[in-house]
Amino acid sequence: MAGSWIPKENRWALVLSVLFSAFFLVSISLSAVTYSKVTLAQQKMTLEDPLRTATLLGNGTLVVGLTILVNNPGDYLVHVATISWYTQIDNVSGSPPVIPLGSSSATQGLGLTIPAKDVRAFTFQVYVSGQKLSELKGYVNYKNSQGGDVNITTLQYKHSFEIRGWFDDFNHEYLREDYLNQLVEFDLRYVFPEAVA
Amino acid sequence: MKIERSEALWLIASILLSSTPVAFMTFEFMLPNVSFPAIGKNLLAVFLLSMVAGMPAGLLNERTKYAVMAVMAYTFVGYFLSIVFYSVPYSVFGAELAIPGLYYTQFVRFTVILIFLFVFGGIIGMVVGQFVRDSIGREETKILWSEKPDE
Repeated sequence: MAGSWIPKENRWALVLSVLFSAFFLVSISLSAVTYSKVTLAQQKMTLEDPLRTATLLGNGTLVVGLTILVNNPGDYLVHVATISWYTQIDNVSGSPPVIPLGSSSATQGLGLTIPAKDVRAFTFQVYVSGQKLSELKGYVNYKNSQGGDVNITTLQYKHSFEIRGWFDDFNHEYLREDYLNQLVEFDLRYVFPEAVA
Repeated sequence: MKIERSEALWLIASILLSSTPVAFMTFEFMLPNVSFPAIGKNLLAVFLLSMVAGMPAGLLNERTKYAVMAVMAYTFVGYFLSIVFYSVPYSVFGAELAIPGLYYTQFVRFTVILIFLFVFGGIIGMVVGQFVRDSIGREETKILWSEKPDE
């Protein structure tokens, strides 16, 4: 018999020990799977198909916009903490060095979420007219006077988009152990044109 | 004294059985926010649980020498097991690991202190386990000797 070498007084201790051990084996297995799924969700989350637009309306107003997809292929709901976007022209003529056109930002107060295995599109637009449009036209004239061939809709508008958040309800507010926050958070950025180091 | 087969089996059994709580506590200490059940980075809870984890070593091993050996051995087996589970996203699920050396160094740096708690708590738990085992033995002997012989 398999149990013949087990002394009678040891059987209950063995049964309890096996149950005790099995509980922790199941726990660590589940925890490791959770850890893996969060890691994969973080690594696979991407920004896709950025679409930059610059359109001149009939009344002469310029509309500069960006549409970008946030793909969350992981198994966890994403809570958006902040979204920010801005567009500008880097004025190589020097003054002013930057012509800011518009910006937008949102914080977690809005309660934005992206469901698991879902893709969400974010669209930003800014209407440029008046003084700002005059500065842009001046910049276009300068570029063309330097041998360029651009107009106000073909200018290379700089876009910067950033989205930050965290997965599901995992604790992400550790004060000292920042690696734990980073484990369940994400920070995706899109910059056009890409900065050259 | 030579170790007997049954003693070796009990030694191995106690090492395997107590290694899983050690592995879980180490893993959980490193990653409390993705672990279940989460006891947080609570060293007192880890110490108390390591006492409980040490009890099978005392309960299952008759000789103190092997019980102490079991505590040492299950601590290191459990710690190694926790590193194995810590590597699961990269070894099993194919996640990308940027700097493997740093990844495992960080794990050891954050959790190495626990080894001392596991050994210390485990030996206390082992002593308690042996005490319980001896008490049961004494009680059973007493009951056995107090029974009236069949007529």
